[in-house]
Amino acid sequence: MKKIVLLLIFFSSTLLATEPHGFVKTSINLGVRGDNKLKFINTNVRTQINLYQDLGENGSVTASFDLLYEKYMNSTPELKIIPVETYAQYSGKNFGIKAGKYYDFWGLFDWISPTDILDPWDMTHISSDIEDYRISIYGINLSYGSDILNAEINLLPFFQHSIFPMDISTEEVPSNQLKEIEIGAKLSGIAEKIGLDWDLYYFRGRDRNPSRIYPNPPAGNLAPVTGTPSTPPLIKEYYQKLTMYGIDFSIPVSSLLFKLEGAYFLTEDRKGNNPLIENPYFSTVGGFDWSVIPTLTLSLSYKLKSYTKFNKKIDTRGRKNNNFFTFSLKYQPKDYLNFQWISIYQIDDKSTMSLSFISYSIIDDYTLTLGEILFYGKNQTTYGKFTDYSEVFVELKGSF
Amino acid sequence: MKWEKFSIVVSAVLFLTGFTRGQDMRDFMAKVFRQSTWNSMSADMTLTIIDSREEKRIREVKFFSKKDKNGNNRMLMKFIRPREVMGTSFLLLEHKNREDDRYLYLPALRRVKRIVASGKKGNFMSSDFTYYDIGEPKPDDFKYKYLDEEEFKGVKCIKVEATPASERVLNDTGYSKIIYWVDPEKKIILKAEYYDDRGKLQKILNINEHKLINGVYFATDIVMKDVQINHISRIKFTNIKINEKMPERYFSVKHLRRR
Repeated sequence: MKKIVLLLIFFSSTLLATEPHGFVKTSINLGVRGDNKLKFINTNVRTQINLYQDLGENGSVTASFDLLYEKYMNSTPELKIIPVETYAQYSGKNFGIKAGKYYDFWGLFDWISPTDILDPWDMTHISSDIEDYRISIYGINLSYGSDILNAEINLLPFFQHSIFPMDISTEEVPSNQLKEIEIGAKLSGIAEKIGLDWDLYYFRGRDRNPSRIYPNPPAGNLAPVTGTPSTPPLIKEYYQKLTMYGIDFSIPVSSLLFKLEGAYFLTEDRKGNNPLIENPYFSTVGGFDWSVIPTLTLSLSYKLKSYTKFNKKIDTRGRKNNNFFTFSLKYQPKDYLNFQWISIYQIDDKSTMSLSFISYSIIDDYTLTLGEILFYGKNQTTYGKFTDYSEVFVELKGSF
Repeated sequence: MKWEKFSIVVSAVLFLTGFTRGQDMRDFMAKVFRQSTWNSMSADMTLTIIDSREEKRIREVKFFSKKDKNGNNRMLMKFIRPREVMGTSFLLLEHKNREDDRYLYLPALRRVKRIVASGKKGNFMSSDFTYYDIGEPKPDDFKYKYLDEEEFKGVKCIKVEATPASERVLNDTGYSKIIYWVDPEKKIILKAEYYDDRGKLQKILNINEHKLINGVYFATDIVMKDVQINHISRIKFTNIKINEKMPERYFSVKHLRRR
């Protein structure tokens, strides 16, 4: 909280002279898959204020924060100030630096991108706008760009994890020490003759999603669980260390854009002996966007997650491979009418997530959105465990 | 006096006879297109879209365009209005021998996304203009035929019919025919009719104003009406700079994020 206040004070003083812009969005989310069919009603009013100020020809400061009035699940209503982004930036001819709190999305595929691991997710705020369900990161971004190559390095001193609707109050969050600084690097380029864009990624840090461990087992912190303990042990949520090496490609062919993305994740359980920690794995996605007609774009992709150190004798929970199929459709017959549908199907456990919405711009700057996010599947499957959080939502957004 | 009249008539006959030959007509239209072609251009653009219920929607964009070393067009647009899309940027890099590259920076996503090309017949900013309409015309994409003369807005114009030179052009543009009204003196287009791939009149273009800037006749007020759906789009340019110095980095993916 202290760093949030400091950032706000620092940037607000510079930005007070600028003309603010942003939006006010009010939404109502109805839980529709509970036993009594109306599991919950969440309401919120989000006012986002964005401030931007040029500092000379190459510098700028940006501050963006939310005033969020929210009634979430069964909690009492709250008014929160949430920093969305707050950073200073210098962009020279080739060299750039950005420091503060910012977003950095990696990869080519929304929702299922293996390399998009810098920004944590906020699964409690799913809506039509991506900034509602992603969390920006504190860091320093150094970049270098030339005609043929772009390089970026992110140094992230404060760990932030994803937020899920389920209670994970027993989490163990890493301390803010020098040795805990996360590093993310990206190298990008284009093979001009054929129009092939490529990116290489490296990340050394911690998983944004928790693994579960016994904090005080008899044989060490991360020892495998064997036998039946005499008393049920306390389980903690633990954000394990991981290293990621990734790559992606995209190339347009006629009205198709082909995309391929893959990454290798080296997790803490390097030998695959601990059933509570995710084993090292490859994650690959391939697919295409197809402009069927100028107003309709269809995207199809297939994702394979394959554990490289899978030991069937020890790990009886999962499978060596997980296969996903994704489908997305965007139809915009008019600039004021927009329909989108994104669906992910986990082929092995037959669970599904579906997000769809239709937005109508009533007049310029005022948009009404109706949408749904639904989860299907048996208990404890990839998406089935979120079934009770399925919802329909209505949003009204006014921009200023 | 008689000789003067006679020479005018002879000249006119020769002029028109010349135009009946396809190659001459092609060369004439190449000159017309060249008159309105720039190496680099920046301007503030206001696009007004009026639908069949006469409801208006206004978009304001900062527009930059520059040719690369191979003569390919590059186009950068930064959206200012409506506020909802403020900060959105669009980069179009044309290529002669392969698909165009299109990149979109959406401030909500904070990410540059490479987007799939919808072809030249895709609507530009959901208006009645297509990407082909706003791009630099390529004389060899069409075959030209002189039709006749017709007065338009007090100017005795030459009417020229353009038909696609190949199936590819027909598919790319969606036009089976374009008829131009050309001011033969200034060699600028004042009006055009666009016929869809079934041969039906689809759109009418009126250019209300040209300004001569740095040797280029620049259309500053353009109205396109889709007569099939009764939909109108008007583009007005202000603060126009032609063939002035423009940094190369404007047309890089990295620059899209900058305001």
